[in-house]
Amino acid sequence: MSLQRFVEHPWTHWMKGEGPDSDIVISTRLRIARNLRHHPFPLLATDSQAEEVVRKVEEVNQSASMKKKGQFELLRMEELQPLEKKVLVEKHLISPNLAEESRKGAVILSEDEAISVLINEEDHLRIQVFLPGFQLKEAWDIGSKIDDVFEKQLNYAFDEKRGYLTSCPTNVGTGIRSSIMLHLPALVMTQQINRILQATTQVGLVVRGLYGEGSEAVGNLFQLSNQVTLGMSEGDIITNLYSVASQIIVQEREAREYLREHNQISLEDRIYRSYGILTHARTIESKEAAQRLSDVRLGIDLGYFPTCNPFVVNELLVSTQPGFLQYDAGQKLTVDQRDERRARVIRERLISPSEIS
Amino acid sequence: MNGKKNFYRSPFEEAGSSLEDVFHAYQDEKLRSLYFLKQLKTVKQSFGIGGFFMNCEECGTRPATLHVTKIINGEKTETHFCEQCAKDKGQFISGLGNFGINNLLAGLLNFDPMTKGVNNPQLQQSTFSPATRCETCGLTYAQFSKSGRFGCSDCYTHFGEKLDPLFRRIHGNTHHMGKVPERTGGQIKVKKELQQLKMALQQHIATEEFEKAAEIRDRIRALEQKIEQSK
Repeated sequence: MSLQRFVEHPWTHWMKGEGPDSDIVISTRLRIARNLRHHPFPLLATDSQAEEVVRKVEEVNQSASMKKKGQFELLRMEELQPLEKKVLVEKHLISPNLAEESRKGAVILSEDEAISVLINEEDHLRIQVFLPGFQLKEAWDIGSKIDDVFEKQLNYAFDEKRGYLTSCPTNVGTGIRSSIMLHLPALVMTQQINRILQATTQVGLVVRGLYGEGSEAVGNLFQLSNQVTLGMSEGDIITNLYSVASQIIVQEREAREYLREHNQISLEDRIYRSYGILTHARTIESKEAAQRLSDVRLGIDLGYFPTCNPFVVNELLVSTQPGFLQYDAGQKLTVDQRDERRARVIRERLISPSEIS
Repeated sequence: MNGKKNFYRSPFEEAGSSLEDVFHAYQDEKLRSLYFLKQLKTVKQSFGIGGFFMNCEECGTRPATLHVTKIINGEKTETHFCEQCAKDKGQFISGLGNFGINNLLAGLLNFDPMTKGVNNPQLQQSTFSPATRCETCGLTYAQFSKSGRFGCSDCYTHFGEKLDPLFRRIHGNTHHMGKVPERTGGQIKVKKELQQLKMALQQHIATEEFEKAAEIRDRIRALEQKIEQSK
């Protein structure tokens, strides 16, 4: 296992296209914020204090109890090239903040890339679990066990009244942020999405785009996550998100059915038209690509492309991002060059979708 | 901030480091994606912010033409100013790097039901002493309310109860109800269990399930003894 492996392949665990409700829920992400007692939070820490935290965490990483959980590798941000970091961000393995703004930032990655532990981001530790499909409880179980391994060997900052103490008051308590990435094309097409997004904000959930930290909702992909971390148990937080998401899934399925029954020709036209463009275009902008890929994904889910695997579309979400395109090209690319390369990557992948590297 | 929470993350989020970046990202977005304009408008209205074409947050009279979106670590804040007020508040342009959730938090920190609506600076001073300092890392309360970030875990202890209104505003709650560390949280774990048992006991008494209640009472006694012994 090496850095090469993490950055060379666009595919990663969460995009497998399997798991419960994976026709609508692309992936589940859960992160747990933890800090060490007697160490200033990363924003205030000096370089040597931050280094001390990395050293302590790395010790746990090398311990026998961590080895039992699988193979993990520590990567230091200062040892990565900018493009390598960008690829890790595009694969959602690290946050843009860790990549660009952290001092002595590092990440521990599991071999299958389902678990990443961010060190010295805003908090000392951010344990992140990324699974395909709708698997909130599973993600919490995995994350909580990794949390236990660290807790056995590190002194966590925990307070009886406030719970796990975090740098930002918005994360205190459980320190968890659970989120799911939803593909909701039919709710967008039937113009019901506004109503639904409104409702979710009213029950304390947050909606944002694909690349959570500072991104827009492109390709009909929406990230839904909890806002409250204090005063609710992890189970309640997850159940809350689960029940709201389940409702949205039902609505999306109904909307798809409705479109199929009442607007079949225009729906098919839209899907096949997008497929035609993606398989023939010679240059394509990222936003158009995301929208067309959303149409094709809907087509796959509706059974229009029996030979096409949803995995391919998930993979293209990452492999058509600027960082990955440039890493793949081995050089910096202009916007035009990227659009050209993006069109080629999509063409090749959609025409020979059966091989999964 | 008018004490309003804006949970909605707009699609205009672009991780820009300068005002220009954010502003241009916003402008592009505005032209490109009319659909989202509509969406944002509806959501905004649901929070009573008054639709997309809103008035300046500062003067409240001129229409807001400068929309600043800043995301720090996934936490996003939006502010809307007219040209005039944006100029007057020069720091928003030069020091945009510092502009973010901290400003929102600063708004929340200065919100205290005890002092709201009371125009008595002395009273405000006594409830909110900005000079309160974390003895461990030296962060003052004033600095915290500016940055919106604690300096170390001891800040929570040193700022103590003063943080209650803030947590109530953000989470609607002040007490942790979730997981307790396995190794270091031993005593706390027992206490929490005790609390839960006591609640269960009350329930069983209320529903007149006395056998179950007796069972739980015994478990409570056993736990209390355990706590006594470990003292």
